[in-house]
Formats: sequence, structure tokens, C-alpha cells
Amino acid sequence: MAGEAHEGGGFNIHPMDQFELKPLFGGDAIHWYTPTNATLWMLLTVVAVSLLMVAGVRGRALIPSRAQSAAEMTYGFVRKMVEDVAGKEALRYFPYILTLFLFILFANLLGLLPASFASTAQFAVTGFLAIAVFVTVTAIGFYKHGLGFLKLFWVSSAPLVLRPILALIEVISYFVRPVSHSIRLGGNLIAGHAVLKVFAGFAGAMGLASIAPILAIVAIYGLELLVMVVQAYVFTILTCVYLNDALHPGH
Amino acid sequence: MLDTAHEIPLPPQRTTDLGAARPIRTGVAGAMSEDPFSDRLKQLEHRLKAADTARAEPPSRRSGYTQSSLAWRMVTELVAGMGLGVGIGYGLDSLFGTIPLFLMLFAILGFAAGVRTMMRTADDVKNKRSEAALLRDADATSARSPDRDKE
Repeated sequence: MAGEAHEGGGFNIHPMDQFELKPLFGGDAIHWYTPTNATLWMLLTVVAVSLLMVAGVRGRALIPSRAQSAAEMTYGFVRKMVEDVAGKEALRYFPYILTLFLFILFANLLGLLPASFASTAQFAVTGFLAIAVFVTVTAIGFYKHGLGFLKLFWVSSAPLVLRPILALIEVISYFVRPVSHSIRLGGNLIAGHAVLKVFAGFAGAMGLASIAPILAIVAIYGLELLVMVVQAYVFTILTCVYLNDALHPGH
Repeated sequence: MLDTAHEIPLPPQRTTDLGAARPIRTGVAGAMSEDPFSDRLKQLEHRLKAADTARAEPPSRRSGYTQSSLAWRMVTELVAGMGLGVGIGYGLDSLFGTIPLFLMLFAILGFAAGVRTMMRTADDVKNKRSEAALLRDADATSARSPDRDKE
């Protein structure tokens, strides 16, 4: 793709092509049940997570192997985060949060492999993850506190006249959460991968001087590695914050 | 004690900790073995300081990234709030056929909700909660004092 850069005057760089969904087994139409490249890479993500967390700790050695200690460190890290942010009783939901973290982390990192497909750059994927968190957390809130959960929206420190309006604002801001939650993860991935692709396009077009964009790509790739991990962390810790709100409503 | 008295001109350029610990040791070990020892201590201190500054470098970049990430989070929340408000307003309007009324109302409410969410994030930044916790270990020393002032 980089070879035919000069064509019809301008650069011929298509940074967004990499996010296109393609059916795995030929054909053009994509139905909801069609296996696509996103399906494939999410499947590979699950395989990678299982490799680390199931096959990696198979030995259950007292002196852990490298894979086992990596798995144990991840486990401990997320567990501590849940406990710190959302308290002891949130540990019941720890498996869900660990699953989220590992899935997003591995999907992000696999997306960085050359010629791979970043499944977490699809808003359908991140949106679903965020909506799942939103629904779960809301359900937990209602289950634990019944209608008392609605106290979350009732600002008791404000004057009585203002409270209904503030309640409306609070409800809307509650619904802002899954939107920003998903946009941030997807947006970061799309931006990072698009930038990499644009620089790769420059590298193809500049001949001998393309050493500069190639160096830039190396640097950006390093930054993206950080971004991928931090975004997985951010998604997880925000889940913990929302869970904390559901477990202890009323601020 | 008399030994230490004629030793006094030497220590002043050292840090307080070591300076306080030193006279006791001179009383026990005597002045002869003391001097090379203190030089080595001083050297060690220099090396420690050099190592400290060398190690303090990497976190700054991560904190820079976290800051920009927090800023983007606020922007997203602001825009998402506004967009959500407009969406709800437009939906209600097309349901009831009162075109500008709910749109205007909910655009304002959505904006307020966006600001509200953003302010909560700003609170997180101030208290180093949620993802701002990443900033905590990056600049622990500089952040320590304002935290203490508040509490």
C-alpha cells in the first residue's frame, strides 16, 4: 500500500482502512452472525488470556515460572485495585473486573502486532463492554439498595427547589458515563493506530528520507504500548469507581 | 568527648542525620579510623543522590501522558453530556412534535450534566483518585505537601 503513495497529486494514505470489518470466509454481506476479522482477533485475545491464566499457572509451582508469576502479579494488581477503590465487599465482583482488564489489555496489545486487527478500536466492542459494565453496576446498585439507590441522584445538600432539576442533571450525567467510558478506549486506539498508519504512509512516499518517519514510528509505537496498557487500566479502574458508587450511593 | 571537640570543624557540610550520628561514633572508635570512613560515607551519599536523580527520570513521561489522558477524559465527558442532552431533547421533540422546546431544554441540561461529570473528574485529579492515582507515585514528593495541607 505504501508503494503507490503518489497518485493523482496528493498522498494516497488511508489510515482508516485498517479498521474495516471483513467477513472471514469471503462474501460481502455482514450480518450479526457473520464471523469477521474482529471476531477472529477477539477469539485470539481469549486464547491469549487463557494461555496466560490457565496454561501459565498449570504447574502451580511454589517457585513460579515466568508465566505463572506474570499471571499472579496481574491477579494481585487487579485485586488490590478493586479493594483500594471499591472496598472489601466489591471483591465479590473481582472475577468480572479481572476478566474485563485481561480482555481489554490483551485485545489492545494484540492490536499492536503488525498486520493484526485492533478489535478494541471498534466502538461496537468498547460500547458493548461499557454498556455491560453500566447495566451490571446499575443492577448491583438496585439489588443492594432497592430504591435507595436513587439517592445517588438526589442531591440532599442542595435547596429543595433545585433538587428535581439537579436530579435530572445527575441522571443525565450518570448516562454520560458509559458513553465517555467507551469513547475513550475506542478513541485512543483509533487515534494511535491511525497515526502509525499515516507515518507509515509517509515512510513509503519519501524514498531515502523515509528514515525520519520510520524513527518516528518506532517512538510512537513505544508510546502506543504505554497507551494500550494505561487505557486497559483506566477502563478497569473506572469500572471500580462506578462499582463503588453502586455499593455506597449517597455522597 | 574531648576527641570530638577538636573534630568539630570538619562535619558542617554534611547532612544533619549523619552529623548527629557521628559524635557518638567518634567517642567509641576514636578519631584515627573516623576520617576515611566519613569520606566513604560522603562518597556513598553522592552516588546515592546521583542514582536517585537518574531513577527519577522515567515516571515524568508517564505522568505527562496521564495528565493528557485526564484532560481528554474531561473533554469527552463535556461533549458526551452535551450530545446526550441534545439527543434526548431531539428524541422527545420528535415524539411529541414540539420541535425546539425539549431540544433547547435538554441541551442546557446535558451541558450542565457534562460540566458536573467533568467537575467530578477534576475532584478525582485533586484527590488523586481513580486514574489520577497514576500521578501519585509519579510525583509523590511534590504532591505530598498540598495533600497534607488539605487534611
